[in-house]
Amino acid sequence: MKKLQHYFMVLLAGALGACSSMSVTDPIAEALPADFNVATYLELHPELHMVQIKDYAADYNSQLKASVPDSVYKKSKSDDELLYTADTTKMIAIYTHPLLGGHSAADWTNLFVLKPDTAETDIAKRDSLAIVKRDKAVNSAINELKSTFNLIGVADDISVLLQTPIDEFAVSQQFLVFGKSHGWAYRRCVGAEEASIPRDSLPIVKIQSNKAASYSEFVEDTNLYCSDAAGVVRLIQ
Amino acid sequence: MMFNKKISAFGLTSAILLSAATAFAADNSEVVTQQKSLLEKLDSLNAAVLGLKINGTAKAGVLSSFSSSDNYAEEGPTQENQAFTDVNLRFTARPSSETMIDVQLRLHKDWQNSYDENNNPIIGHWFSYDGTILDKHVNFNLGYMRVGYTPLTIFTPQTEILQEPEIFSEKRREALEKRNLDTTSRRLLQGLNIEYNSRKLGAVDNVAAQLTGARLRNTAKKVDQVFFDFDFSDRYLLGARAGVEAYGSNLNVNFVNVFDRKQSRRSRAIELGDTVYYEKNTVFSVDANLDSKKLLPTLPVSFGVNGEFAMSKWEADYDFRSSVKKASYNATQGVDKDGNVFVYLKPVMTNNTSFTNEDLANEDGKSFYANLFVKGDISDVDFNVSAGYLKTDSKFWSELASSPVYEGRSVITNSNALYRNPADSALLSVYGASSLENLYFNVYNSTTLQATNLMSTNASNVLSEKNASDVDRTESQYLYSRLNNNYKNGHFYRNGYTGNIDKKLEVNPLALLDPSVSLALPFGLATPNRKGVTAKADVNWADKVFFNARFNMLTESVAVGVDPLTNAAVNEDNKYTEIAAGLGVDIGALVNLDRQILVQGSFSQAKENAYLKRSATRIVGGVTADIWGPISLLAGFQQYEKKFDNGLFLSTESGIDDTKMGIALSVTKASERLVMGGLRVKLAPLSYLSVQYGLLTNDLDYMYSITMGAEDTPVAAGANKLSISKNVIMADVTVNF
Repeated sequence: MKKLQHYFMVLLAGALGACSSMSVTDPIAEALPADFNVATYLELHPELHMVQIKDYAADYNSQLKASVPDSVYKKSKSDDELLYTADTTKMIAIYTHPLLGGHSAADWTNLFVLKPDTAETDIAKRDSLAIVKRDKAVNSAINELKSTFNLIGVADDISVLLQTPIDEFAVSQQFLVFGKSHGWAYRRCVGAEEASIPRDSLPIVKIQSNKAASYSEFVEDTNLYCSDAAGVVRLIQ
Repeated sequence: MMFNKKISAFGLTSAILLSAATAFAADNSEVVTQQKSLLEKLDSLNAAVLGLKINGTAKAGVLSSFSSSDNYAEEGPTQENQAFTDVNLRFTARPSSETMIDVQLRLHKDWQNSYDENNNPIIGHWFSYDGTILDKHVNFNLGYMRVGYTPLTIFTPQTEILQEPEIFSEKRREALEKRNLDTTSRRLLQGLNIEYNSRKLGAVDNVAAQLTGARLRNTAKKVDQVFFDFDFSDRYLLGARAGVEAYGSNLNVNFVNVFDRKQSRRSRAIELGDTVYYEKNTVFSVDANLDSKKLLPTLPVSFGVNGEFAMSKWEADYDFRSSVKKASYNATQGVDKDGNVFVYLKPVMTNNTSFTNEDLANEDGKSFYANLFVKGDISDVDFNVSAGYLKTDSKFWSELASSPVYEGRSVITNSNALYRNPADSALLSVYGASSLENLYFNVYNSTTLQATNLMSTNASNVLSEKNASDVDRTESQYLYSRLNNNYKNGHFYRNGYTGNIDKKLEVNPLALLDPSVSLALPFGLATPNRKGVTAKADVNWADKVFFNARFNMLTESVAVGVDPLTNAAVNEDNKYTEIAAGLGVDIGALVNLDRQILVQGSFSQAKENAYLKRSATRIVGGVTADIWGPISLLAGFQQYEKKFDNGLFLSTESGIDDTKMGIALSVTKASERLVMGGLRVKLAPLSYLSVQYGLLTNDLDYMYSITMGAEDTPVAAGANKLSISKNVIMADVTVNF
């Protein structure tokens, strides 16, 4: 824990340093590729945007919980969730928004499609099982929506959530802490790079797909990657 | 009577101190001193006697005050009675002729509260071990002591009333004594004081050195006050002085350092959001006194100059516990829409509670005064005339020379009165009753401690059946019964004097603004931000005719605003003018009767020409006469008027939210009068019966406005006059032994 704290202090110091000067001696700024751009990186990895929104919503709700008596919180939470789940249009919009649910419209409709188990021979049982399974899937999707992308007491959740201020420093540092070593593309491919070797065909993918037993055994990806128009991650040479 | 004065132990080390002491205090109590001197002679005869000796006074008396005022509420109490027996015991033990143990105890029986009194505790108010040792080269005091250095280092500013008749001065001395104070300019301290005097050393008459260490009570109560007179927070004093004396002149250097005990001073941890201030005050001074007396002994007059130059340093800092939000990043596991796990950095805010010390102020200042004097004795006319100049920076601060013993502003008699207009009671609680009442009267009660007189600031001490966090917290139904009849007696005073030494941050601004403390120099010569001339003359013709005169013209530079163009501070001079003259004639001595018939009177006026435009006028008159055999007549008259032409603004606030009541007051004029007269009968040697009557009147003209509720809605405003008159009857029997 102590080490972790120490690390965060270093990051914090880096953050302050980054604000105050862009001097080349700044170790963190130096470690980022020269053409690194936070906006592009976020575009390529909307999940980084999504987790910040998710955390914001959770933080908002917990602050609300701490500031009012328990009974008041419980009441407004149940009232709010009732309104939330009644508004299907809103739920679909959140579910399918690339920065929120991140799913496609087809995913939503697919939730309601019965998927009977073809191996089951008893028709009645097969149908009832399929209904149970479908309801479970729908419920879990709705539960996840209302517990993650829902601001208690706020009617227009989407617009507020989309205005969540994004901590760009956290995003750029994520590339150094995790993205780079795991072969995340940090920019779009240009020119000849569009035809460069896809990362999937490199041996590092195979190595990394097996979970390392310990931190020291983890093999870092030392290459840099770009993403082509189709979203294929390719090596920058 | 009690004698806290230690004649032998406190040799005043320099003539300047002596002159200062006479300037500010000794004159006032000439009569008292005379009266005492006989007893002191007896005392000193006994002083050589080894072993244990018990002296003291016993006084049994009553005080009834009948008050009337149109401002009183219909059913309010108008009478207050005190009946008491007060016995002061002074134990002195001399193991040898060189040292002495001095313990003084007070037993106070309050007959008005005797019904609920179980046992009556003895109050010990003086414990000291004093001596003159090493072939009389070293004097020391351990325990209680009174120490004075110079007017800019260790000094007590006293209220000076010229030709104050004995009926008043005796009352004032009594009120001071209840607070363990006296009329000298020395400070009451507790600690160790060592003084070395070489005496004749070659060409030098004396080389003196003095060291003083004391612990000072801190006046601010940041923590629980669980017993009536006990506090953890205190400060320390380290003082040192050294001087040389030759040819009747002397030169001394003085150093005083007062500082707060840090951190350990707190009896509990600082709460979040709370702040504790610490102060440190050091003063270094050089004083000199040149006197022609020894060089020109044949002349009937001596002349010379005395003066002091001081440099002060005042530092203040504070501790506080605060919660600071700190941002950091946590590496956190995230899951994308397809269920893939990744790591991202999550910004987290943590609350860091930290304990911080920060500087508040660091100020240096200088002060200087010099007086030319001529004194002598020509054909029975003893005179002392001096004039001088003083200049003190606005940032000069010498804590131990500043706090006056008189602060006034309490209500002494009839404090239980109820008023029709809430502005009247607010005025009395902030501004106080008349200064004449505060100067000359005091009430001493001993009462069983219970909830209403036990003070507490900490919520943990509030007996409540509900949680401290509840808004509608009420007192517990057991509040009174739980603390009543615990058989502990508390001693309570209503007294206008205090021995507290205020820190700069804790100085009550009203002590500076009330002219009855002193208009021009409330903190004596150490008053910051003054420059100008002072002059005085004291003449005594063969103890038959006494004359005193005072004249001060001082200027204070007051910041009145900021120049809108240059942003520079704009200062305006506030000029103080003080004049006073007094005359006393002992007709008995003048016409060669064998008795004293002393008639006294004085007039004084003080004014300022800017700021609050205050002015104060005092007229004093009195007679002290031996009428026949054992019977003497004492009478006195005093009229005092304070004017605040620009108003003295005061305000109070009580209650919260809907019950909030704010009262703003502006006092414009205070007219006070005290007429007293009485007989003193000598029953036996050192035993007296005294019967006195006094009429106190106090008129206060003021403007007020009252607001109610959270929105401060004005409900009443206007000009008002508070007129109170009090008939006070006192009778007592005093036995000195």
